[in-house]
Amino acid sequence: MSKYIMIIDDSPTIRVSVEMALKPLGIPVMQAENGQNALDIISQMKTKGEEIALCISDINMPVLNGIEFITEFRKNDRFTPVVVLTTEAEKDTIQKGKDAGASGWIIKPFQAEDLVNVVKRFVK
Amino acid sequence: MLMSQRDRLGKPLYLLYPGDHYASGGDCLIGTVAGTCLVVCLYDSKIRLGGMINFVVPGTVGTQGILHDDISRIGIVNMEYLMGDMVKLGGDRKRMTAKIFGAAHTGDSAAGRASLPESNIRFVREYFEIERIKIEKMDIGGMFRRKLYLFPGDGTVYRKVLRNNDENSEFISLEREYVHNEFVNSSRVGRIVLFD
Repeated sequence: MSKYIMIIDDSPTIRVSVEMALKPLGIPVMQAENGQNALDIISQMKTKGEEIALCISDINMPVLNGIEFITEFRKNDRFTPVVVLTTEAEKDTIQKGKDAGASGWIIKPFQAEDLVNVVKRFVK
Repeated sequence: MLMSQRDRLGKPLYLLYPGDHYASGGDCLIGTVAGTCLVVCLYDSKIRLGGMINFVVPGTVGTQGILHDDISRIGIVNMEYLMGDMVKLGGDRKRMTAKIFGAAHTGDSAAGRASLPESNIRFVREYFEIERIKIEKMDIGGMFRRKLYLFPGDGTVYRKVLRNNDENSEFISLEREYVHNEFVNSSRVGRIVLFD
């Protein structure tokens, strides 16, 4: 059964851009519009026996932001990588993400090739 | 950005230079001058939060659209700066409406960049279509600069067309410098930090 990449961003533009960038990898993608939406989708996927290979999450989102999402996600999953993709470049925010359990931090703008290389590093 | 200068109404004024953005839910004014650049004003009526950005997409947006175009990522990330600040203040892009100004042929774009305003207009139309954000007002193109003030508490925008393009000459030189730097740095990418 295929594992999925979960893209979490409140911007449809970013979600589609990331999905297009990852297309060459051939890994199926799921999209969520905020952290809570992602947790709900992941929970539904688990009941169907589907798995997440990697999450790519924004930070500034309504309902449940990126740091809150990672904190909640890590309560049930210590190992699935979560890469943050954001405009946030403040050291303190990056440290908060790391402390919450993020695996990496990509500051926008990004190039498709760089994103693919980061995903390849985490998804064997 | 020039901050907290009191305007004639006695409210704090946040004056944006080209490349700046600012969001607030307070009783203040956010102002700028739109020339060749785009000025986007966003408003979330539920929490009475407004924001403004003055930016340029430094290049020609291809006919395939902004999702297929490398230069558009600069425009997208600029919009993310403003959206991100508004979300941090409680905003939600699903509730936002937009007012868009600028992208004028002011004379500066003639040096090999004559198509810049049209390209920026194409970018901003497509961006808001993908984002499914309603454009309430669009006053773009033309030959003249526009002086703009946003009341972020109610989303009202006051616009004055500057019939003499030499008015606000400080903005002319700042915009020229900003657009030049954006072209020079158009291939920039952000940092990548891996934690393990």
